[in-house]
Amino acid sequence: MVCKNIAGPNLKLRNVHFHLGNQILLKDISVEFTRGLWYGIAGPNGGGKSTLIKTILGLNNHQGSITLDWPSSPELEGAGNIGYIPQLLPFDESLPISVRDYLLMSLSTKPVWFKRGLPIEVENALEHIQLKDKLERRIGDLSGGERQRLMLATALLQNPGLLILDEPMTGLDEQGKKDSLELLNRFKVAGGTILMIEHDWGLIREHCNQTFWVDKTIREVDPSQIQITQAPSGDVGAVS
Amino acid sequence: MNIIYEQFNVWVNAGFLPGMFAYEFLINALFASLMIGPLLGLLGTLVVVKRLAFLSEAVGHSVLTGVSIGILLGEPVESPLISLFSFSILFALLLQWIKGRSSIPYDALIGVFLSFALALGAALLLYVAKHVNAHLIEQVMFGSILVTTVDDLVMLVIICCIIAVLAYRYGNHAYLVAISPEVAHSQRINTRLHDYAFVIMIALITVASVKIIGAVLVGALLLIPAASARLIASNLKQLLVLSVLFSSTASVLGILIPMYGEWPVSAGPAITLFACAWFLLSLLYRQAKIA
Repeated sequence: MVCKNIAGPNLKLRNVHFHLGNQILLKDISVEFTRGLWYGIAGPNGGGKSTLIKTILGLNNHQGSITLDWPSSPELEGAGNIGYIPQLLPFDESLPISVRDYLLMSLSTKPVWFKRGLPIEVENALEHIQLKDKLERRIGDLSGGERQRLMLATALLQNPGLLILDEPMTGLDEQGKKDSLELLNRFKVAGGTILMIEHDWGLIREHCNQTFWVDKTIREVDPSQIQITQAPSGDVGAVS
Repeated sequence: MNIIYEQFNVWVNAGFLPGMFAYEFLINALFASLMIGPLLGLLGTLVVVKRLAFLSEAVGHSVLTGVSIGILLGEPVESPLISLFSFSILFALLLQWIKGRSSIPYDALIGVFLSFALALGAALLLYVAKHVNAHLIEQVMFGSILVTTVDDLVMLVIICCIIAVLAYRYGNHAYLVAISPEVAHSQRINTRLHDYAFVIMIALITVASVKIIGAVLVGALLLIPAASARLIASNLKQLLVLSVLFSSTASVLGILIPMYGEWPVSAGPAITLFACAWFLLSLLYRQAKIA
């Protein structure tokens, strides 16, 4: 599921600003993310974390510049590809879209109603994340953890160089977290770049190379100095 | 087409088919329904997944205005196609354009457009009908099997080919855009282009179907077969196959049964009632399965 040599990009944001009407959501964001590193993004609810990653994905009309510098070496894989896991939201249970359908519509160019077979590497990946026996189940019938595992597997199977993850551990049990973190670690070691929104400071401390606090603006924080009930500014209770 | 009409005549004379198949207009309407059915069934699955039932209603009602403008501009009363296509496509594009540039909830925006299309269309059509033909209103609103021409069939074949190619090449992307536009965008799929292509296809198929089904009910045919299929399908393939099957059979039966029974029912209501029968059967099947 994870290649050995990944073309992770360097990301550069310069004076990024985004507003909706009179409401400023991101203000003067300037930051650099280097390839082959795992970045944690933390911040209060409504502080603009999800807005920031959606802006990086190109979903918001922002001011300022965002540059993705992909390595061009032919030995590296995944240049130009981005894997994205959105925040876990309720999925309409009545929609007849199965796990197989979701994988096919993400990974295959043949219409889902013509070609229903999955390549062997996809089957192996599903076995690895314990979803092989749930291929025909509707996505709406999966548990939150199963859906997150499916999203991570689908993102990795697209051979990305950059992974953008919005609270990817939500809903996962301990084993699911351990497996997912192991995959993400392998991705990083192979050269991939990871931006991950996360509220669990223990997890950030253990896995992220660098952490940023987003509350409309951005600044680097040292997670080892953060108390569980303290925001970096010292506002008690802002971090949970 | 003459060879086909003659062949049907041979079968009628030999007693294989009822006498009604000797009428050319019925054969035209039958062929049209065989193309409209699968198209509406196919696009209906996207309408249901995107939860945009009222979009097709709004575009359907825009046809009323398109017809009236066409007649006012001097196009043929039976087929004001240029105005129909132009107005409906512009209407759909404008709706999508405003959606992308405002924070108005999409359902509210569609509601406003639907009311506008109905009001303007009704006003213009009533004005036009006074000068042309009172039956025109009934025909435009509820469809007719009498007016399908060979030119209409050629137009339907072209639309079928365009939509079949697009569905084959971009079908997977279209469903992904429908269920998760952000993930689709991250995969470098042009979600905005998909949204525009979707409303243009809805406008095309609406205009192509309006002669048979009518402006009031064409939206129903985009919704009911797919909504019925959704009740019993467990994956996308089943949803699509069942939706196409329900839509096609409703279209064909809605053309043939009233004609065979000599019932004074327009094609549009008849087709919609057969689609509703599929919905009822699907609902009963689902209830029986749950119980």
